[in-house]
Order: sequence, then structure tokens, then C-alpha cells
Amino acid sequence: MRKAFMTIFSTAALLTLASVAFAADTAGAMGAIGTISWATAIGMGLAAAGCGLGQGLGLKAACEGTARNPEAGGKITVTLILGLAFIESLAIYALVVCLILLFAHPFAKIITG
Amino acid sequence: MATLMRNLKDGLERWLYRRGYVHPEVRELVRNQVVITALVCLGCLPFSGVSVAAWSFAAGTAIISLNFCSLAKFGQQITGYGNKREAIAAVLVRFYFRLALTGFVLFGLIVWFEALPLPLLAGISTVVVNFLVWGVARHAGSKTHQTLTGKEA
Repeated sequence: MRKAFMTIFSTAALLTLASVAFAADTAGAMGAIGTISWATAIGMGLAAAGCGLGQGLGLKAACEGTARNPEAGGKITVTLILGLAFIESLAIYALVVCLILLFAHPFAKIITG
Repeated sequence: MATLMRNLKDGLERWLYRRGYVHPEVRELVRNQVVITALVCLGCLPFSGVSVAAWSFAAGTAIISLNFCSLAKFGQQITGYGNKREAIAAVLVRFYFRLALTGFVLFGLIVWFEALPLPLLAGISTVVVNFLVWGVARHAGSKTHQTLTGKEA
């Protein structure tokens, strides 16, 4: 398992570095676009993974709480829904920021010259 | 006027109850969000031909309201799942499906319809404002109740 993870992570790292190296060779604008694309992809991936992890942990705790004390189920459900909604709005914020970086970048004219 | 407002509120509550929002506090949150969305749409849509920011704000509010309504409807049944793993899988599948759908809609709004991102973000933030106001109102209500019943000391 550990070996497989090591292989996957090293492959991913090599691919990332290779794109940066290739981007450095091209003109400045194309390099910047490549970097932005990578940044948005990694950013959105991290945001989605983090939010999914948060939702899973919150739900696990809520299930355990309800199992221990079924009478508190109503209060736990409201708190859980609030938490899930906050996490989901965070993911959507990250998504919008990534879309801004990709398609409505405020400094696009400066970057592309 | 107050009677009309109360009738509207009761009608909305009954409609939400029929739609499956059986938990009273969850229904209250969803009702507030629906009211906010209706007010924002009524306030912004007349200016949608003039200002891009107005319809961007309305679109952001509508997107997050649909998201929250879907989450709240499903959220009421989550803790009833017998198996913890099943519950987590169901929540995650729905979360990523909603996120993908929202991403597609946001992409269309920003790229094809050239919506302004900042009003869109402001519209998305209405759900957070709704929760904060609801939480503060509830906290203030519980404090008042404690003072009235003398349980504070």
C-alpha cells in the first residue's frame, strides 16, 4: 500500500515539475496561463477533498452522537445541516475563485501583455 | 398587513412541510432562505436589463438557495441511517454531484453569460448571512427566555 502511494505521489510530482519546466521555456503569457491552470486544478482538488473530509467527519460525529443520545437527534440534525451547508458554501467559494482565475482573471491583460 | 404577513408565512410553512421539510427548525431556515431569494429576485430582476451586477447577485442567491434546499431535505434523514458508512457515502455522493452541477452552472454564468464574479459571490454569501442572523436571533431568544424564567443565575 505504502509502495503504491509512493509511486503515485512521485509520478504526480514529476508530472507537475515537468509542466513547470516546459512552461518556463515558452513565452511568458503561455507560461502564466499554464501556471494558473495548474494552480486552479490543485486548488479546487484540495478544496473538494478538504470539504469532503470535513463533511464526512462531521457526519460521523453526528451519527455517533445520535446513537448515544437519540433524544438529542433533532438538535444534532440542525447543527449538522448548518455545518454541512457552511462547508458546501466554502467549496462553492473555492469553485468561483478558480473560475475567476481561469476565465475572469482581473490581471489577465497585464499577464498577456 | 401583519395578518397578511402571517398568512403568507403559514402558507409557506405548510407548502414546505408538504415538500418534505418536516423538522421545524430546518423548515424555518429553509423558509428564511426562500424569502431572501424571493426578495432578492424581486429587487434585482427589474434592473437585470440595466445592470449585470443585479442579475449576477440574483443568480448567486438562487444557486445557493437551491443547493441549501436540496441539502436540508436530505439532511433530515441522514442521522436515521443505520449504517454510518452508508450515510457518509450518501452525503459525499450528493455533495460531489451538487458541486459538479453548481460548477457547470457557474461556468455557464461566468463564461457564456459574462456574469460579474463579485456580485455572484455576494449572492452565494446570502446563505451564510441567513444562518448567522438565525443563530444570533435564536441566541438572543434563549437569553431572553433564561432571564424571564430566572434560570440565568
